[in-house]
Amino acid sequence: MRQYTGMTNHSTMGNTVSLCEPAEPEVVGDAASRKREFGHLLDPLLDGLYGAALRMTRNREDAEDLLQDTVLRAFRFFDRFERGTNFKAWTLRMMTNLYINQYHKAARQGERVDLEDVDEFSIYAELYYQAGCLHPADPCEQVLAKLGEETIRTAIDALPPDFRLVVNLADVEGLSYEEIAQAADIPVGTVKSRLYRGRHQVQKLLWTYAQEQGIARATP
Amino acid sequence: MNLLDDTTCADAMARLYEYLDHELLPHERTAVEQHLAACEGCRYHYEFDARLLDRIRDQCRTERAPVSIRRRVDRLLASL
Repeated sequence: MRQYTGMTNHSTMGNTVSLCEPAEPEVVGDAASRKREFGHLLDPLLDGLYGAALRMTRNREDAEDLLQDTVLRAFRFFDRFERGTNFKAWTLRMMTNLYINQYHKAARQGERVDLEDVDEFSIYAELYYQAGCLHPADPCEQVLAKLGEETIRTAIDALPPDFRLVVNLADVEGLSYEEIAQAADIPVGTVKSRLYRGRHQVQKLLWTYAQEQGIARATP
Repeated sequence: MNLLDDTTCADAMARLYEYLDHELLPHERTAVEQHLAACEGCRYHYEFDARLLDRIRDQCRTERAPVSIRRRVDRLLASL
């Protein structure tokens, strides 16, 4: 079911914005070079941004809409992008803002889970307990190598929305705590605590799946 | 006084994620590194979690934008 109801208006797709009209040759040059610069920065990020949109919305159509809205907004505010800084983080911040405002609030209605009950679960501690495994190259490595994309994705997707967002932005997109705080409009301390609890929950779920799939032995 | 000697295993484990995320201040990072150099148990635990985070990142960054969305973005940029 599609839930993202972003600002995309398909009827505007064919409109030509005045920036491109040749009234002022100099302006046309500026607009063209601005667009070219934007395109050069955006192109190599498109796969990653689409993946990020997909991880947020968990729906291909919504992800396409969210990506398009993000591109539109990023272009509109491109003058504010500080050249030489992280364009991916800047664009992801816009995407996160759009996602939170358009979709995330609805997604978390009635689902305010704090994960307070999550203990500090650790796969390494479980393996150590089971096998006296110290060095990660032994049974630990075998478990890691068998954790596939689908299993990992299922574990992260099972997190409550607030935690899922932060874990994805940190662990998949590689944003810093400060960048996540800005993107999600939450304090850095909240980023840390959600990440801490979210990661422990992901480990707990991965351990359960690993046992179900026979990757790890069941804990007695 | 050398504050770095006081890091316990509990301190090191509490800072695990901030260390792996490169979010510690330089003196905090040094303190953790000194502890890890001396404590095999914590070092292996750190290595495992670092490899797990690498695994998550590697496995989850495989999407490719479909041709349809690339065309859509191209059309959008052309219209601006």
